[in-house]
This record gives sequence, C-alpha cells and structure tokens, in this order.
Amino acid sequence: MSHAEFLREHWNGEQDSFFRLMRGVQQLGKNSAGVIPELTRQGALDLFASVQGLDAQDVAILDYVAWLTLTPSQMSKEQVQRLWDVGLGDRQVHDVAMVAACFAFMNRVADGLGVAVFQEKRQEFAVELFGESVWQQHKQWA
Amino acid sequence: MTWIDLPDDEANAQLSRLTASYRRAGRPVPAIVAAMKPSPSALRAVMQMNNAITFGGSVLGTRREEMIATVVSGLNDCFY
Repeated sequence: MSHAEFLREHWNGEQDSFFRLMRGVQQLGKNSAGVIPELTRQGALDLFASVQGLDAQDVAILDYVAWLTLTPSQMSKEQVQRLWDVGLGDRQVHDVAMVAACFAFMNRVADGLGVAVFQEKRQEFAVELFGESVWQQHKQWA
Repeated sequence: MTWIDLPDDEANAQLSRLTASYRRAGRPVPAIVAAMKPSPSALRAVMQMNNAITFGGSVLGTRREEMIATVVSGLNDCFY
C-alpha cells in the first residue's frame, strides 16, 4: 500500500477533499520554480485550511512541511513559532522535520535510480492522484 | 524495477538477512528497498532510520506521518 493509499483509507473527511488536497499540492509544486511568490505562500495556507478532515495542527504541520520541501533555505524560526502556536511541543516539531526530511531523502533515491513503485492495478488511483502524464512517465521507468 | 542492475536478494549473507522477512511473508522486497541492495550496510542503516522516524516511530502518529509523506512526495512530483 502506498502512503497516499494509506492516507485515503484513514481520511477523516470526504474523499473529494482528499483528492482536492492532492491536486492542490501538485499545483503548488508546479508553481514553485524559483522563489515562491507570496501569493502562492498564502495559497498553500488557504488550500490546507480549506480541506475537510484537517485540524488546526494538521494545517500548521502541512504548511511547515510544504515550505521546508519547496524552499528549504528560507526556513525561519517564525515558521517553528506557528507550530508552537497550535500547541506542538519541541519533540513534535523535531519529528515533523525528521519525517519530512526522511521522505525527501527517499524521494531522491527513487527519482535518482528510477524506482518503479506503482503496479498496473493501481493505475486508476495513480492517475486520479497525479494525472495521466505523470503516470505515463512513471510507466516508462518500469 | 530500477535503471541500475541490482544483486539478487540472497546474493550474500548480509542481503539475505535483510530481505528474509519479506520472503517469510511471501511477498517481494519493496522496490524502494530493493533499490538500495548494492550497499547492504547502507540499506540496513536506511531501514533503521525509516523505522526510527516513520512507520509509527515518531510521536506524531501514523496518520500524520503518512500525511507528511504524501504531501512531501506530491510536492516533489514523486510517486514514492
């Protein structure tokens, strides 16, 4: 089971909102060439805040994770403050950074070596999540 | 499964130990794990790191771990 499949199975809100989150995340990534415009930064917060099934801590965590992934050199203590503000302690902040970094590492291994993850039976889910073009690109790896 | 050639799961004693749990469970070694077989010591260390940080290893709970994993991978345009 992929991470996204696990998350979909354990999603608290409507499934539509899960796919909206994933499509929104994809769009954020595509807009991220170079410096992230302030508008996009607000767009990320708005996106996470609008998704049913995410509580205030989830939103703050995903906001932190998004900018750590997209613009790591621009992280600041203020972004950690936003995690403290929603009640997270230092151990939780630490673990958020570690989990995000761990998966960024695994992403680099997968992309660098052409690791084929999805099987044909998962095509429908993968296409819904990432779009036909990304699925076709992945299939060429296999 | 990868662009580079990979050794067999039982190519040496260390790899055989690292992949034994998958054989016992009757399922193939996951592709992302298999990709690290050229360096068994690195594979072992990465598996230990993953278990310490994710798969319930954090204080965040599995749901939040998977939420972060999915968003990081989505932002990186990475299927994994």
